[in-house]
Amino acid sequence: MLKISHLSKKFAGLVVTDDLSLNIKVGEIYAVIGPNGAGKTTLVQQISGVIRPDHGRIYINDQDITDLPSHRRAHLGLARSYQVSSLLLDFTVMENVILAAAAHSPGGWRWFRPLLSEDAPRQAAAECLSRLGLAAMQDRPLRALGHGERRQVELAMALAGVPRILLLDEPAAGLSPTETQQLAVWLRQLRPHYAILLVEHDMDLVFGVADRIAVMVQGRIIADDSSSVIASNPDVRAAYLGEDQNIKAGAL
Amino acid sequence: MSKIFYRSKNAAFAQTKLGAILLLLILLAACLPLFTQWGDAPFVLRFASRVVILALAATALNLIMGFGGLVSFGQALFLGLGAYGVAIPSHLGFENGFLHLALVMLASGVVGAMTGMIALRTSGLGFIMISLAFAEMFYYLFVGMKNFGGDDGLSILAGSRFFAATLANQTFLYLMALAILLVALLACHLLKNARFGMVLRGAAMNKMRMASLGYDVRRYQILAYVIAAMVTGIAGMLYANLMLYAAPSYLAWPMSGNLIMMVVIGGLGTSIGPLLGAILLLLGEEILQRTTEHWMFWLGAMILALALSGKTGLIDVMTAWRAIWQKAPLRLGQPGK
Amino acid sequence: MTIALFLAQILNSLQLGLMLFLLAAGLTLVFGIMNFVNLAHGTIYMMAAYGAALVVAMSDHYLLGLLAGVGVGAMLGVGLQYLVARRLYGKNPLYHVLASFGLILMGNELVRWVVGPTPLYVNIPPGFAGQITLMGVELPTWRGVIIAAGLTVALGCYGLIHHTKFGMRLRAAASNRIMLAALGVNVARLELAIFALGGGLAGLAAGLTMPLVSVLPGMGEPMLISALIVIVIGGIGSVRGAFLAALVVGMIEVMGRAWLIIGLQNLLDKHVARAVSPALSSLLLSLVMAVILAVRPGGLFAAKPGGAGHG
Repeated sequence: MLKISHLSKKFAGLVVTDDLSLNIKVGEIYAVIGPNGAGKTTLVQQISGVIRPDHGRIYINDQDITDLPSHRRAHLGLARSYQVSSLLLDFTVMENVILAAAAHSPGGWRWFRPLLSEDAPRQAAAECLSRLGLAAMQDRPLRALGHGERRQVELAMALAGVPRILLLDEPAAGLSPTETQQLAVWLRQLRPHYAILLVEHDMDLVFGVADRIAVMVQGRIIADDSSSVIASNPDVRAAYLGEDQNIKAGAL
Repeated sequence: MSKIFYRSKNAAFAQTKLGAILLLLILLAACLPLFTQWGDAPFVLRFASRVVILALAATALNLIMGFGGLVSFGQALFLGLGAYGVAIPSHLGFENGFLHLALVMLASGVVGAMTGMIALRTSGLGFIMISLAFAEMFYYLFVGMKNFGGDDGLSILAGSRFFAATLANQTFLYLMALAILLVALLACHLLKNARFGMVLRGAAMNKMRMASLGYDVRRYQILAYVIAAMVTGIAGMLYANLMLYAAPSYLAWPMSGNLIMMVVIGGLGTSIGPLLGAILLLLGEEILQRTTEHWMFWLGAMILALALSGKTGLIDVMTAWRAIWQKAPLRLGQPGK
Repeated sequence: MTIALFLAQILNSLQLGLMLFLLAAGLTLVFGIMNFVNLAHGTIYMMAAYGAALVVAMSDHYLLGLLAGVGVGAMLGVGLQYLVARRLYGKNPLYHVLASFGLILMGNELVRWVVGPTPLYVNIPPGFAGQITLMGVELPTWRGVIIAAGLTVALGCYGLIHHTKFGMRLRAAASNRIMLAALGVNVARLELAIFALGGGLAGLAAGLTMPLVSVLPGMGEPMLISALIVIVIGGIGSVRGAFLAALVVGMIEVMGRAWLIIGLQNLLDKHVARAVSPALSSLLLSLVMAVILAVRPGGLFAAKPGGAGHG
């Protein structure tokens, strides 16, 4: 579904993505873990089209999307959530989600009809909200929501466009343990229908839901395997427990 | 259940009341030429025309600045294009109003599309500057056109002629301008919550997010920019007919600054704000001019105070109004819940 | 065009470019570091010119007037920071535009009110009124002084920014203000210093150029617009970019005008050509800016990637 081959990116001489390749199928949660500054968010930015890679190609369903702008990628089924909630703060929850849904519902330029009364996006948004149990807060403005609630809306917006690929950039950041558990339940429910790339620091969540795990250090994937294999890989444990990463990364 | 019903009925009542008040105000405004004729005060009609025409330009600016979040410091460019779109053909002997209109729409549309495509590659400060630079560019172009008056501007001997009527007729001009303004205000009000307006406003809050949702943000912004350019062009055409004169100063940055002020004073991003702002600013200018020789100083001080306060009393009033406007149809739209 | 004339044009553009740099340096620092859109910078320039011209008229000492210009500029810069800019940081740039628009109106009307609408003229200080010969070109001595002063200040700015503690803090402030405050630097004082520096440089430009121009209400705005074009071309926040862009802009204004006159004389009447070409050279300048921004939206030396500032 989502294929990346030999992706490379440098910022002012600093390598942030180093000859990176991966392949994610529908029905699979593919987690990317690694220390801060390993280049995980930069990877998400390149897949979603915010940053252009120096080398390498990105494919959705064998279609090369490397040179497409963000909005074209969204129409090919790519949706993302942000590490730091990135929402439309002056709008209500419903307005946020309906905008996400409307981007994919035909209707072209409706000049004078209120978006909230357009049937197709309204239904899609309402369905998405009730699926995540957020229907009760649909009329609240985003500004009035707490951090955890905003993260939920973030997920709802990613789902409302009916994507096939989900890029989730640290969805559990700042969530309480209960909220994280809820997130894990949702992720398992979503798994069969999507190809999910999960960038996450919460190891319990990652090892609890991911099918495959890639470990990223200094822009390189140093290990990529099923989660049970990764859990027992000594190099990964070393890198992740904060031992000298340079030596380990260089050794591989 | 009964409580919700009661509330929605109340909101419906409030909406009807507001609608009635608005209708009355519109009727009063439309009857203004009669009053000024009775009272023998043609300058009042002239002043009202100026308010209405500049409010039209401010309404156009509000589309890109209030909704789209793009601070254009060069909106006067299109006002000037509209004015010269009347002055140059009538200088050459063409007085047909339809020809003027076509020329104005074409010129402001084409220049709007070209400058918009370049200016919208930048954002924030860059956009402010480049929109200013484009307006300055055309300002100097008209200064340089010596055969069309150059620095001194160009007088218009006869206004735009539509069949038997001419826009040089003050009453006809006023009523035309008022009708166009009302249509523009209504369109803006509806646009705001429709798909187009929501995408524009969303992009103003978070452009990247809108792109990742699948919106081609630039296409929406360019379209809004071109629409605003053409509407401002029409305002310029009316303005030239009011003044019977077109000058490079119409394109100069103080004019753009005035339009920005109108939008902000009235309430940024509200539908009716530009009209309120135009009334307040021009009325304030008029009063200051009559009371003190150095009115510009006091006007400047008032603008500074407005900017420092960050928000104005009027905006607060507007948000209260907006709450009534927006909540009423929403509650009515979902009676089942 | 003869070689001598060409060289004279080069020196003229250098002089204009350096003066634009003095204005643009303060602007670009304030834009880049505080993210403040200061359209009232031209008003500071005008007020400083008035201060300098009035002091020269009263004391008959040019140097005293020049110092007064620098002082007025620096003081206005400080006042602007403390009374206005400080309160608007982080707000929608729209409010910056509005506040400085108000200040421009106030400033222009204030000098008209206090000093009157008639322009003031200042003579070139005695001893500098003649010509010097440079590389075989006759150059008015005063223009030579301006060029020398401008180059010195530009070098001084470079040294200040790259080789002093103040400059280091300045560069740090541009990239991360919160971090700087956490390290115990008094950010508020640093900002005052930046405004004072910017105002002082504008005052210096005013004091140096006042014999060449007439000091009158509204004289700041054309300079402001040129300086704004300079910093946008150079890349907002980049002093080095401002320096190079100022030279380019000076070149376009002076050379563009000269060549347009010559070029248009073939097409138009001589008087018409003379009247039209200043407008057309300004048009040329805006055109160059539009082309540069269309190709590089962040300017030639974008200080931040993505450049043009967001809010």
